[in-house]
Amino acid sequence: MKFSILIQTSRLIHVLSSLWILILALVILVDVFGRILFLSPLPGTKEILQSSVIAVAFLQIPLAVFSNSMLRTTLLTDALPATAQRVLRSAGALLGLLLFGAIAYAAYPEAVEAFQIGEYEGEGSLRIYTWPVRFLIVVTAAFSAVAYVVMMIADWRGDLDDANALTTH
Amino acid sequence: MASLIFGILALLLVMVFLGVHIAVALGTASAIGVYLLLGSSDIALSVLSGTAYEALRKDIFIVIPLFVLMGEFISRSGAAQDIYSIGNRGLRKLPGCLAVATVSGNAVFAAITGVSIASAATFSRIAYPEMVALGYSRSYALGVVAGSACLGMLIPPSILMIIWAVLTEISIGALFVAGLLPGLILASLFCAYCIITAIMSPETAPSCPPPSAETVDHARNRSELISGLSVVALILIVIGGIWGGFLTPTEAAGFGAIGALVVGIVKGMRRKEISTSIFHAGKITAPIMILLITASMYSRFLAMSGAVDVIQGTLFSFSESPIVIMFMIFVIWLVLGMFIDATSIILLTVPIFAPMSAIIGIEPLAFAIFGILVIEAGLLTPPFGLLIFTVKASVPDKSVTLGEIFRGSVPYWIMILLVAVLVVVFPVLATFLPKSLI
Amino acid sequence: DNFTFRIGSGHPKGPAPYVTTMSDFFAAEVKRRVGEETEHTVNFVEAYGGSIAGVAETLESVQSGILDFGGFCVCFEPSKMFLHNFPYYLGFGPQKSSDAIAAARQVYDENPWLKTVMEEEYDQVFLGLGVWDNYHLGTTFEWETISDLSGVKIGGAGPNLAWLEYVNALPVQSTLPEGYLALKTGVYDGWLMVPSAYNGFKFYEPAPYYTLIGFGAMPVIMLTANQKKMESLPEEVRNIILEVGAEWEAQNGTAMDNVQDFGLGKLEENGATIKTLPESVRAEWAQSLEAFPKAQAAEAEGRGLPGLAVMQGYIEAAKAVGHDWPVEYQLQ
Ligand code: NA
Ligand code: NA
Repeated sequence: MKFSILIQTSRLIHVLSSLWILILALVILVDVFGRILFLSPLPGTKEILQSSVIAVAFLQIPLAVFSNSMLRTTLLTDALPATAQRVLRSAGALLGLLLFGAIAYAAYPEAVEAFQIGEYEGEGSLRIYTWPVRFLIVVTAAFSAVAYVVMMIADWRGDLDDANALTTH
Repeated sequence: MASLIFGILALLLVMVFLGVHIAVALGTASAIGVYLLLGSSDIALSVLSGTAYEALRKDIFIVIPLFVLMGEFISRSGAAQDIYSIGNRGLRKLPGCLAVATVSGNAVFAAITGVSIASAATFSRIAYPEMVALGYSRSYALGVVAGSACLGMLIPPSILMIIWAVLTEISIGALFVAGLLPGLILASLFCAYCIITAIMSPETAPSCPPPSAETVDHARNRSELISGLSVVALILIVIGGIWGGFLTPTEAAGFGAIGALVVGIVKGMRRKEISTSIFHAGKITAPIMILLITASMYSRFLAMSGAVDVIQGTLFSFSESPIVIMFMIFVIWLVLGMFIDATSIILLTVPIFAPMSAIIGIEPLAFAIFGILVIEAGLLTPPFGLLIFTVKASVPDKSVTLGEIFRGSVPYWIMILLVAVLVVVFPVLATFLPKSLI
Repeated sequence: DNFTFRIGSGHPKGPAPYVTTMSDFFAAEVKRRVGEETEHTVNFVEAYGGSIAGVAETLESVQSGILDFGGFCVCFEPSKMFLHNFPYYLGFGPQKSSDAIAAARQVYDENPWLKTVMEEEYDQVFLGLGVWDNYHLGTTFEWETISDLSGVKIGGAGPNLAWLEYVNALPVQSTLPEGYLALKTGVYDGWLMVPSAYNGFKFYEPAPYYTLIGFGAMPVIMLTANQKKMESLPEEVRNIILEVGAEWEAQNGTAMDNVQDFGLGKLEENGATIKTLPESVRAEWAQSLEAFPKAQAAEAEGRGLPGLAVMQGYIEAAKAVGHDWPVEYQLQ
């Protein structure tokens, strides 16, 4: 499998973001115990959660594409011959490439602007700059677009199962 | 305008049926829709990037990965197995006992999250394998998991109810209480259905085996006791925290995840099992989160195209009879429920429908409960039933098909709609508790 | 021609009075006048409550053209609209909305940059100012002294959270639609909010203790139009929009004064316990904010914005409309 490095990378960022969720649970715990026991909650918890939830969602898209776990319905297409199914899968992957490519393309200038003007959210408790998450969306959306291309190529080479095998734990 | 709206709806349907990833279909259709609407690719792109950044920017959404994580830990720790063994013993004499236990448990879990897909995801992992292991028919087991997840939106805290109350200026507290009685009725109906089906066709849900020598094994009893107590404690912390006013759903989810990790460690999970749980929780969460993002793109396209005005005009041009209007609202919600998420449906339709229902003399609390039920039922309908997809993505058994889940859910879909109609015909079901308590 | 405009806001119509006036006054009046006075007609697609853009995205949505018209609180744009938040930096300002908006109007006229920056940087035309009614504090529990608020988690829009430092409360930035549940579960125990929205979002249910503190009415709402769209319109339509925008601003002061009275009455009717903060405590609280305007003015200047001129202008303009500042803010 030629693209295994890409799949390994998607696994790595998936693992990191999954761990990050566990860390967020700990952050919540510290916040609540701080509030109840010491009357001093952790400042900025809400802001951290808000930014993290988008980051986590986007970091996990590439592996969802590689592992074929994006939700879809195959009620109708299952009845078609194999080649027709392959053509439809490729068309779907092309749309995925276009959509995520478009998101990356459109989000890029916004990320640059957010960086230049130092855009932030949250006030009083903690200022969270928006550019890291905005750039993360650009990079992960682009990666997802690439993932669709890889899956399309793997499909025509008959490598889909190999690609899938690389995504399991 | 109407032709554009219905054209995009048709395009979306075609893409979904041709097997395009649903998230991709939603995003693509909305971008094309905005482009055709305004003739500007810049604006279409802005909708994509803006929604990508903003759609999930609320701390409440973190409950989805956290509760999925909690479910992963519990189901991989073996605690779920133990709990179902206990439930098995407690309800053993009851036909379809595990299904009945699933209904109750699912309602409780959904009540924690306020987001019914999280409980569907959790119970797909906890309850489904147990039921199948006991020889339940797959479709029956899948149906009860998907169907009973709908209970959550009737039991506070419910995000749908808060949105509804704010939009219509009715009391949130009253609406919360209004959902309790219909929720209990629905849960009882679900249980009755499970029991009756089990009696009518025992092969669908075989009765639990009598206690064997193995189940009186002391070590096993001890393990079950530990599991039982710790999971009860976990649920008490999570639910008690919310009801007692100590925790938000977000915080409760954090406690749930860490608490479940502790239970898992007590039950003998080690680094390998823990990391497997974390890895798989992410794999369940990701497709749901991206779907939420693109569903939000789609609801923005509908708002931009003024789909609501088109619908209102069309409705009033048909008839002004209360029964006809209510029937049309009912059908529109069912149809929308096939395509978009419940929150978006409420945001898009309630501002039009609530005044219409007031004009034709429907009690506002009853109308709200009716609406929430009908819209929730949409989560079970093809081609875009969010709960169905959640169950499919979450069950450990990858041979499960969407068709099986849809088939199993049909009875629940009917029962939900039945209760919805009951609430409109007998508004006292919704108004009795709020009027006597508040 | 028939024009279809998309108008939107992050807050819903009804509970948020500025949105109600956007719909019932601005949109209705533009539609009526264009229909009567020109050979054109106008239709509005109204998208409030965040159905197209949330509170923090409305400015950007008008900029990109997703919305033709948008109404938003500058409090959700802390970095792009840093200085436009000046009323928040000067707490205990004019108590009546009509006074506050009159004073702010004078500041906008004396510092045209406040308006022109919208065109130069954000591709939108400034149509008029809106205002929140007077800010007070609602809590889930009854409090007697300032020390009762120490460590209590209190929600607010953002720039107003600095007001809480005096009482050592823990401020959290949040938006109105999230508030009810947060108060209900006791994660927040208080909310800095105006009576109209406090009533509209039903915060009196979980947090029935409403203390009248009078941080001031805040003229921080902006109604804008996409610039390209405006330029594409026939002149007579464009002029009607500009005129109605100005009229919208002009009727906002009185409208919000009424909303404040109505909101307080409703809160009482709905069972809230309303108390007034003793004058001595209020004076002390105001005194505690002394350093805040100075710091904000300095930060604005550091960003290359006319912080001193704008903020000093508001202090003076408020005096001119008859406001007695409980603390003499020194900006330098
Ligand atoms: Na719930
Ligand atoms: Na913004």
